[in-house]
Amino acid sequence: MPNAFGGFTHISPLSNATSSTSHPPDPQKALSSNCIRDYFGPVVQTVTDALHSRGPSTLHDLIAHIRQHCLRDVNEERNRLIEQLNASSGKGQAGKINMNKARGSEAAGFVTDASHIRASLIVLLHHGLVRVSGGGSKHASSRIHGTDDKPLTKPDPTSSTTHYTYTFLDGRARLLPRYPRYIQHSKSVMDENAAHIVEFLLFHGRMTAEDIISHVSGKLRSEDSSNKEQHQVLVDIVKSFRVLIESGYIKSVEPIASNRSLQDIQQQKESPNDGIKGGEVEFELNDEGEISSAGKRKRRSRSTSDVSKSKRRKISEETDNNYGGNKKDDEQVVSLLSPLRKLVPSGSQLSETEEEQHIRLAELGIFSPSDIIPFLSDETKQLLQTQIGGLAQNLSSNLLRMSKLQYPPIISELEETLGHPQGGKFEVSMRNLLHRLRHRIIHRVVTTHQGTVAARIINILQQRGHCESDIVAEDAMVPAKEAREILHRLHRERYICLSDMHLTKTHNSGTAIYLWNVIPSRLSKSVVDNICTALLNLRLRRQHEVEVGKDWMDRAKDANDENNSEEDKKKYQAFCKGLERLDSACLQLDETLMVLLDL
Amino acid sequence: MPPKRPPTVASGGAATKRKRTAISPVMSMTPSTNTIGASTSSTSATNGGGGGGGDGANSSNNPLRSEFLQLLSAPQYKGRGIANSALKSHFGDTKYPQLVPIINELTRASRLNMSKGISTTTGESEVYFSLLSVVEATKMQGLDAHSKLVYQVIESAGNKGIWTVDIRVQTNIPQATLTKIFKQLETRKLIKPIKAVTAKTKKLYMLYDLVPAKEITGGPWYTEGEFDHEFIAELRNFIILCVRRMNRGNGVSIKQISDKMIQAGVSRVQLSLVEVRQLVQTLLHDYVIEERGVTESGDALFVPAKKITTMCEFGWWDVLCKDFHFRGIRFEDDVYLTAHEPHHHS
Repeated sequence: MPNAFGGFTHISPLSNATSSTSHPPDPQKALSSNCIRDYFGPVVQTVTDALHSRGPSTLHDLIAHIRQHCLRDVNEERNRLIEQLNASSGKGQAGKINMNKARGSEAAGFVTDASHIRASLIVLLHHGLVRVSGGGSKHASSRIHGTDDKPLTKPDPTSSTTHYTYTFLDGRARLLPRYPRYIQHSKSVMDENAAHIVEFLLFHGRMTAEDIISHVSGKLRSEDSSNKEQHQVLVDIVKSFRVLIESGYIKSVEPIASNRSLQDIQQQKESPNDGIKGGEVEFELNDEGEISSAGKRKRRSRSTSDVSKSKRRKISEETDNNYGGNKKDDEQVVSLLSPLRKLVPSGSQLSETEEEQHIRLAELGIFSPSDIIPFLSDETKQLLQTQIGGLAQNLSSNLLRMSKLQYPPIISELEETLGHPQGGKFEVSMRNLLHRLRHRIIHRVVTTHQGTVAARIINILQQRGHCESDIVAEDAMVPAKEAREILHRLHRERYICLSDMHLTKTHNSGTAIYLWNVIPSRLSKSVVDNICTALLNLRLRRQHEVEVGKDWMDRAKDANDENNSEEDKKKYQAFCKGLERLDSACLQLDETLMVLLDL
Repeated sequence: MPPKRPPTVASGGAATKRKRTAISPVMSMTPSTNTIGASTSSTSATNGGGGGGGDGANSSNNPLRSEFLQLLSAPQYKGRGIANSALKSHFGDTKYPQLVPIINELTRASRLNMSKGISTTTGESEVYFSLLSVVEATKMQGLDAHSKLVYQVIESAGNKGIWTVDIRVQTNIPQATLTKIFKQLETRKLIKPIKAVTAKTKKLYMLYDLVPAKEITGGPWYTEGEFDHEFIAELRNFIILCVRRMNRGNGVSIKQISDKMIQAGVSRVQLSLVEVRQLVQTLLHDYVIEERGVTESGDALFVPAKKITTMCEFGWWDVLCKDFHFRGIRFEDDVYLTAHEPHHHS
């Protein structure tokens, strides 16, 4: 099939999808890859796709894998010629001629420079899209577990034998298009300051508390024309920040570079010796992508491309902590944050173990009758108060009655109300409700995709288990031929399964018994894959429309109103409406994915 | 081997040169009837001089004949008939041989049907004699052995009918002859062709007076061999109305729905409780109604289903088509996104 997009590139050289197929082999990976390209660019997409195809990898392996696909066959003669030219010109590093060894342009995702790959990996790390594990080496076990003589130590990131493994987190990448909704949600649930904090964090990935508050206050100062006292503004921002942490919207994480390495880097800035120490050494590579040993530390190669320059700027901004900037604000910020150090520890080290976090989050959903009294309406409170027993007791008995409901189950009783000092402990039956909602969503998707009868047949098979087609036709009240057609269609879409039982040793389709059944996990996966494919296709179509119509849109915006014909205006409005429709469709699908996958 | 002549019973007269042979049955497929086609391979050579039994049997005033007819008309012998041993014991050794010409005459007149069955007393296989009515005899009169064989094969299939292929296999009669026999029998209103809903191109035959089984006709959901979608849709709508309006929406049972359907005369055929339950089940599977609670007698109650808003109201599954990116998209309010010219890889 010809390429529908022409010159519009949307895949990297390592992508599992081709440009001309609308059905990628793994729709969820293809969708996350497209989201990465949309937000971070083609080079980061190439690194993402390499991690997808290779699985958890070290940096060295990643670079080798990417180069395998992106390097072109170099003519030895040409290589020699360039070396001779460079040698004869004697212009030094600045005038050196470099040959482009990539198979295509960087805009198409062809990257060969190790520093670019490293920088992309840092971006992914920074935004929490990659998980780091390992740090193991030949001698790691004794170092990590410790021996009688030697104390327990962490692996040394400066060592050339220390390797970290990077794993891409698919699920996180799919959340990128939801960032505007997170900002909107925090604005509606809390306030504008919270929205700004969330926006900042989403944009930058991870920042220290001082940085966040300083930047948000700076932004508000530039936008807000009112003469609100600066201190009050900071107090409000810190308050919102605290609420965000306590509500679980943001959390503290380990920095990519350790505190010590940050301090070392700071010291290096003051000292003339430009030695490279600390966590940065983990990424010390030469042009060939080989990690240099500790003995001969040499200046790491610096690519001159814009991408790596911007990445380096970002890292240096992180370590800059605004020291040397507006010192007065910083002191205020630090002083405001000091009472919250338990929540926001210095350097953002983790203070809560995973187990503690799980316990805290699990207890969030449990409530007693007295906990919900403040949220009841006045009428309800009055009604319960007038009844015998009083407000608390009546509320407790009502909750108990609700917990007896079976269809659907809403509340479950965790601790008996009888004799309980707080009137019992209850929990909303989220799991049951979610299961029911997911079931209905799948039913709805199958109904809109394949028809009412198909959805009915799936329900019948889920209830009955393995069935022959005649039984299915009878229960669904459709002719047997129609039932068979629908069953085969559902089987082709991988919603249902077919198994056969042979009455004789040799295969004889005339005497075999064919049974249909539904495997819930497979049905769910097929529905999710279809939704991901639909979402990906809609996103690509939208991106292509914008790409193709870019010039025209710019002209339409800049055009003088007097000169515009009505028809052009109508076309432009219709075009914008079309894009809105595509956005709305993407939103619906994304929300559905949220319920099916992310809750 | 196919029979060559209609069955006869040889008389006991010494002057006859009829050759009495044992009845060699053609067994039918249905063990319940154990009907044997009256396809005896007996051959008989009538002797012109030895027809003594025949002359006597033809007399309608023969008291023995009347007694024989009366015996066969008795209610306990209707249907299956009387066994040969019972006949012997009733008439005794003296009169029994005199029955032969009577039996022959009645057989020639197609009034007597002979079949083989298992005796209830002895448990052994023996011949049974049953009387056909005058009307039936008139219909059967003049039919040759092949036709009678075909008739018996079709009769043995009961209300499920039998395919023409199966008749040919069982009777071993060539197709051309079979076609003539079918025509003859249809003209005499002895058999009728029907079409099964599962295989509309094939022809099924059954006895004229029988009502086809539900598996053949498809039950009340089929009209003239076609599935009646509209009828089912009407019934479903009626049930939805019942559930919403009866008992103020607090729930109705299947019995109450069925009674209401009969009262309203919605269905042209009487629907059983099983059939009404089938309709209600389809509504349950479509989440139009739901089960909530039981009556005092333990019957399930059905109420309108609560509407659950699922996120996915997305119905535009054309996006999954392979050529989606080549298509123009027209939205409901006439907004149109044109597809761009397809490009080929360079």
